[in-house]
Amino acid sequence: MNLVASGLRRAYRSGAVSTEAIRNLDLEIEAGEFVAIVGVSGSGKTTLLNTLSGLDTQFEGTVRLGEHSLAELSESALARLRHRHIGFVFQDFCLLDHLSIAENVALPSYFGDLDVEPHKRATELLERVGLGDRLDALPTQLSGGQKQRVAIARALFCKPSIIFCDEPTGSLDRGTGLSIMQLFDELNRQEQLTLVVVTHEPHIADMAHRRIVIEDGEIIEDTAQTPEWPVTSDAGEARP
Amino acid sequence: MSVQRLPALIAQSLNRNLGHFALSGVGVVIGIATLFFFTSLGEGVRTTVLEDVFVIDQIEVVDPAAGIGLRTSGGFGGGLDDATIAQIEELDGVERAYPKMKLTFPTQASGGEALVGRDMGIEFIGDGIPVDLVQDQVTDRLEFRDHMAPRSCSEEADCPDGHVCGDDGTCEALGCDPRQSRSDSPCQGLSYCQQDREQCSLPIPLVISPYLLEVYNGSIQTALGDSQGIGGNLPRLTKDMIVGFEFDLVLGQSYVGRTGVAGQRERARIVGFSPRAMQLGATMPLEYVMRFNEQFGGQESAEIYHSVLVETERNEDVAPVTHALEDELGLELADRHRQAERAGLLILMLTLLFNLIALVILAVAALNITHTFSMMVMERRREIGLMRAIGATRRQIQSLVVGEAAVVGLIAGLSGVALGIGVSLGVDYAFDRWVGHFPFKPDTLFVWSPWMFALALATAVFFCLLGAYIPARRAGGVDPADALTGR
Repeated sequence: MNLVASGLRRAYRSGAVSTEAIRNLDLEIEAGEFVAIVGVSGSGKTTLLNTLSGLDTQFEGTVRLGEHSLAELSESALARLRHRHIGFVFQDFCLLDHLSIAENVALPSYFGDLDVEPHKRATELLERVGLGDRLDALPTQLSGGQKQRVAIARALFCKPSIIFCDEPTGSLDRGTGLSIMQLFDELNRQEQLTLVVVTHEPHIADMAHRRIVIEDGEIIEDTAQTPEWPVTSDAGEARP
Repeated sequence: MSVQRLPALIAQSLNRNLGHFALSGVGVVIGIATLFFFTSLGEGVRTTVLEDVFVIDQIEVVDPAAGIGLRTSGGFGGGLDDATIAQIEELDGVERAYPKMKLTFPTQASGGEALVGRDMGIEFIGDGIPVDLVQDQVTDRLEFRDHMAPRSCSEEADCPDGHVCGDDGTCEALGCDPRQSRSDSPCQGLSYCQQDREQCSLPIPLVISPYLLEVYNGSIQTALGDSQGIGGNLPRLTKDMIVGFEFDLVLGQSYVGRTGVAGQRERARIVGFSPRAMQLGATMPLEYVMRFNEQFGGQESAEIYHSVLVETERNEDVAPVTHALEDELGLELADRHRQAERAGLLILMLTLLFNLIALVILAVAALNITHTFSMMVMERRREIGLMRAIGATRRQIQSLVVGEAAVVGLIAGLSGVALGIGVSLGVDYAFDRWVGHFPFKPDTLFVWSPWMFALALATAVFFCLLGAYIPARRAGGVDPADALTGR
């Protein structure tokens, strides 16, 4: 599912003052790409992720995901699109502390009908991310890396076409962050998942196949790259 | 949202925010308990007043032009005859009209040794009503029927005590000598030897009002119970003691007057209690009264009824039928019904007043729910943002909050009803233990009907939903991007 944005603008208004976070931006991401969006704090990368993913529809221009123009979808249709085709991974994991990790992974099942049994699917995904033995654990009993794995499993629950990750390693140490990126890389290669990762960390961006640098709401660099995998003491040798 | 999965999500949320929800539900519990308490109290008092004291489950009308009810002897009221009864029965919504007729000549009663230890004589006031009006309230084997009417038979078993089956197929009274002792007399069982006719007869069956017993026990016996003289040592009476009690009547003469016709001695027997019996007197089958009125007052006094009880097809018909009776037929509600109307209205107003207080409590509780739910929505903003991000629609988020409010309402409603019942039982216990006996003192002050439970639960859920309306809309309006980025 291709993602195409053209003439994209997003401004925030505070009283009489209007601040443009995205300025006339054009972008195309093809299905199966692993893209890193890089920029300093306040450059507009999270705003861009929100508009591309349909979380924020207060933009000008067009954003198309496959055949769907996000601005033209009703609120419920947009919610259904996010449910079926889009996954999210956030910096602070966004897990519900009162639910077990299996229930957290199965959370999307509450909001739409799926042809899978929720607990079975959650179990499969948690096994895949290496937490098959912790199904009933609460998020508070997990490390940061484990929590992010749970969040990734939740993002995969509805078999999405694209996953948006907002600073997925921002709350993790370098080694743990690397292991998370390895997981993303696996998902990208094995399942042809489109991955859009927003990060301010250059070494994380190095692991993507394409780097988009954003500054003051504009793309200043958009280059394909060969992923660079560092060697770390706690993650072992990364994929070359 | 998957309909089957919604309750699970609500349950998880309730479980997590138990303290908040319990706090928000306290006001509803108190409000519902108050509402339930006063509604059941109002219904209980209303039932006692309107069904036991005034007895107005049917409409009773009189002819205002006739001054009926003021006369106790020597004539008739006028106005309510069979033609009027037929007119009433033709009105829309009228199921049946039951005529009532008073004895219109002086009568005295004597006896009572078996009951109060000595014979006493008093003026007797009586009236007559159709037998099917009270038949189901008669417990004595004599039955409430016209025993003087001819009764067909094919064998002796078809005839009452003191009667045999005659050749013409009707029951015939056995002849007797009033001077004979009971054991030698052919009048056995319920029958007795009537001295004027010298025939076995059955006593006149009477029903009396529970009001009379209440007045006796609550006032006369209480006041005179320990006094010296004729009223001293009067026993406290029960219904069981009175049913089956027999005494003598002298028709046509009393302690204060007499008719031109010679007095006639009859025996009467109390066969049961009925709220439809006259309050200060006794009620017999209508046929007896018509027969005696004709005998002692002439043909006219046997044709005019003193009042009519009107039964409606449905409760909703009571008001239109009352209007039709008053406006179309020029009839008037009996005094008792007018008093009952006023009493009923007063009770209704008081019940509504107290229920208004309950509704104010519930309104405040709804505000509290608005506040608490708003706080929870604020606290859960990021969680709601996440749900929206992974596919929840605004409506699903609203349904979640509304569902939580409905469950809180249901639990608070049940708790409120339980509290209301508990307080009611406590008040009933205190009322029974510390309030002395008085006429019509009820066994319970409260009446609980299924509709009250339904009303309490529906009201609780309604006010919780009302309180959660704004928070639910706010929750549905949470922007996922803002919530997730902390804006």
